[in-house]
Amino acid sequence: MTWNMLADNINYAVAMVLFCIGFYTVIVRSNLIKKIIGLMVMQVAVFFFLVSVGYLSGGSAPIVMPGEVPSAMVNPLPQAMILTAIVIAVSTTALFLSLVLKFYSHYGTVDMDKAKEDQR
Amino acid sequence: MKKALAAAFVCALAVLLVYVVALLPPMGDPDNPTNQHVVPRYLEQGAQEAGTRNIVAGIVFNYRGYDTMGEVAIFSAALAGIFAVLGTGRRKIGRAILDESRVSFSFVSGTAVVLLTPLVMVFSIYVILYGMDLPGGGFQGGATIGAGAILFTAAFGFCRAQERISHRLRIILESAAISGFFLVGTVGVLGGGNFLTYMLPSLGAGAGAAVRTVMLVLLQFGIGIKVGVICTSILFALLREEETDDLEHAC
Repeated sequence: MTWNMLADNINYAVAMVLFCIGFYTVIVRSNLIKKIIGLMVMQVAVFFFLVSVGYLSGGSAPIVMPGEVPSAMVNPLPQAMILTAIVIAVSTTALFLSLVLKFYSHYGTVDMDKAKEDQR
Repeated sequence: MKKALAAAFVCALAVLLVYVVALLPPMGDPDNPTNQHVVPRYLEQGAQEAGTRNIVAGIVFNYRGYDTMGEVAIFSAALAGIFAVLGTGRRKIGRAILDESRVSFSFVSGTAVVLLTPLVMVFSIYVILYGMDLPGGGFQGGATIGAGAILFTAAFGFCRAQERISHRLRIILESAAISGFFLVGTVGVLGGGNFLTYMLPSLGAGAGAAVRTVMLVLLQFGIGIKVGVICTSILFALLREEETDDLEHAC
């Protein structure tokens, strides 16, 4: 029975797999740029999951036009939240990158392990 | 060893998460709890209550205007952090990575950008203005403004772009955008309603709706300018390379 349910919720499952790929990148890589890329993949997975939650099969865009039925529109709430979250993701990623720039100008590398070896 | 351990942990986490989401109600079902609670009211009455045919814009600027205001504050905090880490741009810089490119300035790309930039700006204003009735809005239009600035910087180099869009201008625009957001929110309080509700009962229904539309347009423009300035400022801050006191070779 779980396999049928998984086929229905394939978007959720893909989002979770994407999240885990990003999480693995954050854990394993010692290159700070790659860590940031992993974080961004995790963010995109969460956005994808939340937008999928608001999906309605056969639904139309949530714009009130003559002849559109309100009950046939997709859920506008996750879309509004994700819209602002995307811009926040951009600004926080820029903050991470600026910290990495400072790290590079201090240690001469963006690799955490190499910076640790140089410290010794 | 460390990698294998991490891979095993992440695989276990993935199996657990996928098993849990498979047990959620099927995606796209109208009877899902996520489509039941407050959403039917947004969809049925959003056009009257919020004054926007685009329900997403109505949620962002009216129903959940507080959230949007907090997010605007987050942009400012992130930009302040970037300036604190990388320098504000008040001191001149010696060189920028982009201006040391081996490829010299191309006449063709310069002309194309000169012709394209006004169109990009007009399109962004269109997206902002139509955001209440059609797909679009302040965030998307602001991102388009930022893309125009990035295009100009890529063609003409960092020094000329920074002359055109000076630090002072960006600071003024950003402060105007965020304080405009607060002021427009306060108009609702003066009219006897809540913050950011656009209730002006003394004006009557027709004039009240007109005032609400004007306030929404102001908010959309505030957000658009804010996002555009943030994108440009982030680009300039990341491109800055070395601060210098040698003013002859600086820009």
